[in-house]
Amino acid sequence: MARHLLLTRPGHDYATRYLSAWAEKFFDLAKNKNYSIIDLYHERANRKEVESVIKKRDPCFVIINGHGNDDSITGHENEPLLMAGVNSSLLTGKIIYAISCRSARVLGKEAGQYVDTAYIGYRDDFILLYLEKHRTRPVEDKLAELFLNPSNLVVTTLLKGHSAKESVLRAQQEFLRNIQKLLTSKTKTDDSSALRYLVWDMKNLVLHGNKDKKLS
Amino acid sequence: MEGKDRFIKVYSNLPINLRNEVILVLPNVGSVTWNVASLEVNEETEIGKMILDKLIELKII
Amino acid sequence: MDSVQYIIQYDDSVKELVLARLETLPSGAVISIGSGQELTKEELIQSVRDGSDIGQKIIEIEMSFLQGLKDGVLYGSTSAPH
Repeated sequence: MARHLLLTRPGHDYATRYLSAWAEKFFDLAKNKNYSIIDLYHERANRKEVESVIKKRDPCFVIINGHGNDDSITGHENEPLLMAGVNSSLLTGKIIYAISCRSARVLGKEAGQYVDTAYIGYRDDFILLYLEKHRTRPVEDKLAELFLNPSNLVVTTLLKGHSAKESVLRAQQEFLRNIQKLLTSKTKTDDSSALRYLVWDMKNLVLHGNKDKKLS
Repeated sequence: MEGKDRFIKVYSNLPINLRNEVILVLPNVGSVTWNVASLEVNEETEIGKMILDKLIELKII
Repeated sequence: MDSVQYIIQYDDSVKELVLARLETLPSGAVISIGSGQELTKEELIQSVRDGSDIGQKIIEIEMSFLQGLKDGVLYGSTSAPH
């Protein structure tokens, strides 16, 4: 039976375009692991499509790229997609990774209480640093790479069959590796300015719910 | 000097390229980096005492 | 739905400290923070000066980093969440 991976990739500002571009880096792995990718790109990253896909295709893995707040994660043009107390029960039984601000605080906690559900997200603002000169070519941005490689590791670790807990741990280790690369005497001040934001994201990446859950 | 040992402990464990970072801005003194703070604290100057008091207040040491 | 905001008020000396530290950001860097906010280095500095919500958040992040140094955060120690 096909396993489905639902992914939202809005593109209404540079931050979401960065997240969306970097998300393509795990497409090959997902396909190699026999996942069918349901890619809700730009305008398709809306609530109606997300709810419809979840109800009809029952994806085991839901990846939401976008903005958010304590109790919701958003899609294209910041339309709320999944909200605490409204439609979060759609996430029951799944693994969710939300690359958005603060949603782990309320939405993630609520989703984590559903049976056999794991919600991975950030309990405070997700900070991303990038270079203006790479805005139109996000995947070439070495500054953004420091933030988005660890984030992508959550996804690739899960796709390789590891648990939710392991995916968070590996992502945090990758954040730390990037932090420590910036700490030696060879590093220029410009480059080490990213440190405080890497530490912030590393500390705020959390998991709610079934920490041992793996993708089925 | 109160806090000197705490300062030394934190400073000693700081990566070298962070030691040039500003950690305080003091009135009539201006910006103070870890390295400058270390000099003042080691010599137990008045400024060193101000630095330690402020770092303790801000929970940096 | 409004969510509760816990805003820690910092005095001017902290603001001055953060402003001095933000000068080390490379020009050409853009920070994406909060829901949809993207600021250049200059805009970031101005938001701290103005004491806006974003400015307060930047101060919080900076102080969290500085306070984490004594706990070994750069070497993998995890300090208590804020």
